Amino acid sequence: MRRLLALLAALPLAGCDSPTLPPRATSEIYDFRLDTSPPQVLRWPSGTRVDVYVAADAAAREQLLASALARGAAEWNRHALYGEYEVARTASLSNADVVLRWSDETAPIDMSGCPPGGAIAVTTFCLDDTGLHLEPYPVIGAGDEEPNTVRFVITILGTQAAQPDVAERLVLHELGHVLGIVRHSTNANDLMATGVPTRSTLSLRDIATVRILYHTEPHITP
Amino acid sequence: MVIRGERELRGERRGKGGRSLLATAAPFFFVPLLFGATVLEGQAVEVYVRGGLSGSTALVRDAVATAQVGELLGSEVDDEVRAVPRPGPVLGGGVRVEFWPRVALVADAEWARNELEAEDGAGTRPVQDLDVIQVQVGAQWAVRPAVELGAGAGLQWYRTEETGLFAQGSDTSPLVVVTAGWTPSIWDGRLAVIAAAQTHRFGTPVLRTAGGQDGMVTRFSLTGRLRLLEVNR
Repeated sequence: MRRLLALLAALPLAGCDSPTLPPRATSEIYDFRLDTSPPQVLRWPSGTRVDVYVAADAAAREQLLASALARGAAEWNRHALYGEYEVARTASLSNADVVLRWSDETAPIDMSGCPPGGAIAVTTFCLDDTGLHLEPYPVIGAGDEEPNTVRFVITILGTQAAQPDVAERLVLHELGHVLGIVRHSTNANDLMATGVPTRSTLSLRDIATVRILYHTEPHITP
Repeated sequence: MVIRGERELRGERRGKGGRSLLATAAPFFFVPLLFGATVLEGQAVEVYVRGGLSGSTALVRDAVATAQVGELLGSEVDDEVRAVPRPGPVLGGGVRVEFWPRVALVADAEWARNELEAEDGAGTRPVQDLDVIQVQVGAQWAVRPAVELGAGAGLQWYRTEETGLFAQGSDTSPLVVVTAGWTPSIWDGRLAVIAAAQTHRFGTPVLRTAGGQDGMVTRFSLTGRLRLLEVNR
């Protein structure tokens, strides 16, 4: 009986030897901060569902972007171990956080105040006057009462529709920017390196970086 | 290829030390059943159901980053993330067979639903629902007329959406359990209150891929046990 009581008392102590993950070191990540002076951390609040609206004129081109989004979202989401974020598609522009579009089509939002650059793929966002949040993109045709929720626009060069595999990798890369990795890795083996991505999954450094990002206090939230 | 096929027909699997799940589980269930079948005649047998609450220690403690990372980033980095199952309902049932006046053998199965939560610098947030299933066999001693103590062993499974920590599933875990029960002198002794604590080794492929280590997790439950059927008393 005494042995049994001792075992009962010992069980909670056995739980102290919890499964653990070791801390990541500086060598395992790259700088993800916004290139301001001083550099700032931009990310969604923990637990946010990031809704992406796919905008395309033709069904085939929409399907291509939707497929790339589904794969890209799944790849990023599976590395959110503790529900830090979730990237998902939305059918409604009125509650979208992100618009994904081709460069050669008219955007459903007014981008005149914060236009995209001319790269093969680009993620665009602009800080608001406070510098603590992002400026929303007005939805074209929406009434004044309707809220603007779009904070990021991913623009893929229209000619990339002829290369679905490349377009898929570009969307995967741009989703990393949407999540807050707003700089490029200097290691060509990482998904978030400059240029057209050569890989269709996250590298170990990409994974460690996004995990650190979502456990770092942000200076800017969308 | 033929050799591998023969190994699999014998129940061997790679990565499980040559043991199939059936081979691992069999001693826990079939041996008591075979033993019981020969001696059950004349023994008091009780069928019961249980219901109550269960909780758990953390499934993972994630150290996030070294101090140098925070210094490099010039921003506050979480010290730790803990993934902890929130207390939730548990249902179970089983059979008790009295072998000696104060000793009973027990075969028990239970299901528990816990919501996994993450605790970090941003607060606490829900991550995913967990179904925790465990089966066990053990023995109970009536140390006093209304007080019993027990111990046992069994297996446990986590069933949940394949995402996050569980993106590549989880292991089948052996467990050990101790229990303490009290039967109040009401309702002909059909109702008892059972406190249980079990510990099992926990790990997932995702945890190990991320450089983590398996560790021990302890689950607790407080249930009411209701005797449904009794024979040979």
